[in-house]
Amino acid sequence: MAAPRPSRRAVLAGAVASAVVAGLWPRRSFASPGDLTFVFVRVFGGWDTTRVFATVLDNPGVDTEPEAEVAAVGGLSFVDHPDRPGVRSFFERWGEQSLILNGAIIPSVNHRICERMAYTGSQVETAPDIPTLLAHAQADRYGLPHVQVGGPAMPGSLAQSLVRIGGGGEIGSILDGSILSRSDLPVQSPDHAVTDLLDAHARTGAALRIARGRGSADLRLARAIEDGLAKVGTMKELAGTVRWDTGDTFQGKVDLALDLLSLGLSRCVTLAYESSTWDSHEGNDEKQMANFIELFDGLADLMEGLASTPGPNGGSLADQTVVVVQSEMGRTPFTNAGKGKDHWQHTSALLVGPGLSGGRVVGGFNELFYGEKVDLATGEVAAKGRELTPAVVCSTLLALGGMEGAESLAEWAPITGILG
Amino acid sequence: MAALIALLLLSCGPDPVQTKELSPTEALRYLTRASLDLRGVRPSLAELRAVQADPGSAQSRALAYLAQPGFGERYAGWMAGVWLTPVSEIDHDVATYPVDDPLPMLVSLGMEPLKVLARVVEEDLPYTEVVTADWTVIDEHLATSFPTDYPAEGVGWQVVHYTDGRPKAGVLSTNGFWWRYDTTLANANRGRANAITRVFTCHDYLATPIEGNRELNLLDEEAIADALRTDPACVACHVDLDPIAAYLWGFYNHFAFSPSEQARYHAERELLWEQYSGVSPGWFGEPGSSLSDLGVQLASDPRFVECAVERTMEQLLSRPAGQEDTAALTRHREAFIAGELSVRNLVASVIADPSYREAETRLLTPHQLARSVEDLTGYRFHTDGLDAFKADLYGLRSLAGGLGPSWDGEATVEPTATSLLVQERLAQAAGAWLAANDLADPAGARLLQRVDGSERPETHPAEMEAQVRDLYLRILSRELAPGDPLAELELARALDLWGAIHAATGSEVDAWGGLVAALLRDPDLVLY
Repeated sequence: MAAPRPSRRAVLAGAVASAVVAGLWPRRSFASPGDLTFVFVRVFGGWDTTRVFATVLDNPGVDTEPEAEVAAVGGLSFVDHPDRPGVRSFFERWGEQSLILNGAIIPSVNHRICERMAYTGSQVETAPDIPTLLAHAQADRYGLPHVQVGGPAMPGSLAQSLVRIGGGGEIGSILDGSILSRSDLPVQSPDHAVTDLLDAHARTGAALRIARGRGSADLRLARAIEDGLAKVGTMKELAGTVRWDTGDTFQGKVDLALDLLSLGLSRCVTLAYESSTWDSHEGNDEKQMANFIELFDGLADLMEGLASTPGPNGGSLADQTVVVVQSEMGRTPFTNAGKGKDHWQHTSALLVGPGLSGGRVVGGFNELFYGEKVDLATGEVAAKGRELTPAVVCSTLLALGGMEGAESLAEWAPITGILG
Repeated sequence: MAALIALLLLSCGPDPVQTKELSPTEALRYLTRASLDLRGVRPSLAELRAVQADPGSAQSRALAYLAQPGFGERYAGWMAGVWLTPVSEIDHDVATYPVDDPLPMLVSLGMEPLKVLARVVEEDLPYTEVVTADWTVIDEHLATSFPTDYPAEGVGWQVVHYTDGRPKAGVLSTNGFWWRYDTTLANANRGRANAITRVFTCHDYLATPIEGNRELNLLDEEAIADALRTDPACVACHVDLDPIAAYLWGFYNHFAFSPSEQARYHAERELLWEQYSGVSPGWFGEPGSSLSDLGVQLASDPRFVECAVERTMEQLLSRPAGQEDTAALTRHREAFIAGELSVRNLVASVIADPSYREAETRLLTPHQLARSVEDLTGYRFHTDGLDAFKADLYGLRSLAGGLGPSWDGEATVEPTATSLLVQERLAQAAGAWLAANDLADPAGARLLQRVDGSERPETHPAEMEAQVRDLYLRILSRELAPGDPLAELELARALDLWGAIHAATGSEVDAWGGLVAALLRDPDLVLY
């Protein structure tokens, strides 16, 4: 068995500590919107917001857990449960920078369509998702503007700004060529000298192919190949530095995100938090409990990693990085015959990091467990406010990252009241 | 012979639209596209040279591909991006099945409905058989659990019949379709009903945003039931979906982790619609009682044929159908009907149409990439017997580009960093495999038929150049014509690369393997 690789995070954390001791690393309050980077955590399957975010324990129409209680850290209230201590400790540690968005409405009950609307702010199939838009806006600053680890990709027409790798850790073995050793037919990957020759030949071939291009689609595809080969080159150059091999764990994905952000390679990293049991049509209590425990353990690791890893421009990654945690839908307030909960159009999101007026909850749920309307200027619940539609939530995320509009959004309506 | 088959295929439909003659280069491109679309592999050297010599024969040769064995599989492969059954993750727990390794079963499960489609196409059965057949197609992995008459010692995909008394309705009676499209008590098969309308009538109710009534109390079951009958926003979809959904209760499973529960059809549950929706079975106003009725009703609906025509044209033209396609869609539908709903006739009409030869460049799907590289070199990436291009979870399909596009509004598919990485590794492996085998056995060589490994550019320039020209034509459908400056540049690049690799490794096998790998990475391999 190969020796375990040294933890890059440990090395980087050591560097941070040394810099702080030496007075070389001035802490900054937060980066300007245009300098913010993002980690998007997507929970696929639909989470039950009543387990953490929706403090509706006094609503008789909503089935909640017997031992759950509403707790608060500063102005941020959440659902606490004795079997989920990680949630409490997370908010105790990061509550001041955290903002819970309650009552977001996703007008569908189909996973695929909800994902599209929640993550792009539009029902148009070709609309790019928010991390790709944010990354593309600064594509000239980042070698791999948006890296997505697992989950369906939604780059729309901005595919050149996205690198999507599998969630199972295959990319490491493909990058170093060791995947060929898994082939049932015995073949050897060429040595480095030959690989370099072939790579150079491929790049020249791509450029010549563009010169021979015919028609718009042909040219677009040929240019995508040239662009993709450049990204492959970047990934290969960093094969020994970036922990591409994520394994099949969330921690592995977090490590990759930290590497990409700390090296200034990416503006956005999207991590899929995939577990088939989020979609808890049966046994909701047990499944959501186990998943939220695991999720918040993972988020705690992510936040600690961001705090202990230097950013490319000084300060820690936590000073410049917003973590956005979303699920494409919520779950019904009532339990079905199989002790499960089905799809619900009203859900929540968690935002942690700079640029936000943290330590608060924005929005809420009414007695029917529908999302409340919100005054976009203040973030307060208001009867004459606006629904937190996908376009509103996505506009807010883009505004957080310094953008002032996006053609693909159904409308531009950010919640300016939560931007710090 | 090819011309005869082409004549037979087109004789069932309207006269093809007259088009201008193709140049040799255009003819090469047209034949390559048709070959990749209809066979999944590139044309042979002989076919390419024949078309170079007689560009006017390209269309009849392309039509002849339709008659070759395997066309049904190829057509089903196109529809995989629409049917979306070959997914690696489903809600059912196949790990509970009595098999050592559930992964082959999972891969086969998604293929069952597509195998039914493939057989209908391959054997020229009327397309309506897809939803009316009394048979299915399964392999030994599925046979371990499915109640069918699959032979006890059988191996491979075979035509069988379910033996649990389920109604006969083609793919609508297969476990593979309904395990992929699962339901819950609360959803009451409505999602499944939408899968039917999306796949077979090109209407996706879920593509419409829900304009819900915010005054409706969704915690009140009676209020919901009333809204489904009376609220226009609800009725618009549910009036269609609920009766279709009522046909499907025999495939409802109370438990997702019980093999006996999942694998068997439950006739005793067919009337559960009385309890869970109160809406009786029907197809757009026409009542019915069993799943077989649904198959017949669907097959009789004009939208069933229209949708097949539309999907087929979209897949072959690599774009969504639009208003400007109305005349062409009409021509293709008439050809389809005139040919007694033979899919071969439908496809013949599409590829003979000017819009096909003028279609924009498209990208190979991962399946096409793997299949065409295997045909060229003999190499296929299997790991522990599992095809790496047929699985997402443990394979490379997703990284290489996924199942393929549906063209019904999906984003345009483009090459990505990871798809290029997968192509690179596949090219390296296939190049090395090909060179080692071809040079060891010149009599059985697939590509290196003009060299035996002893040649050098300085000693055998003519043989080396001829071999390189053959490789370009066979692998990339590109002629490196003597005297053409760009072709001479390509030839020089190839020979330079051969020399550089040989200088670095001292190995002829490495040099030829590297050159073949370089061509397998060329943009022209995946853009066609």
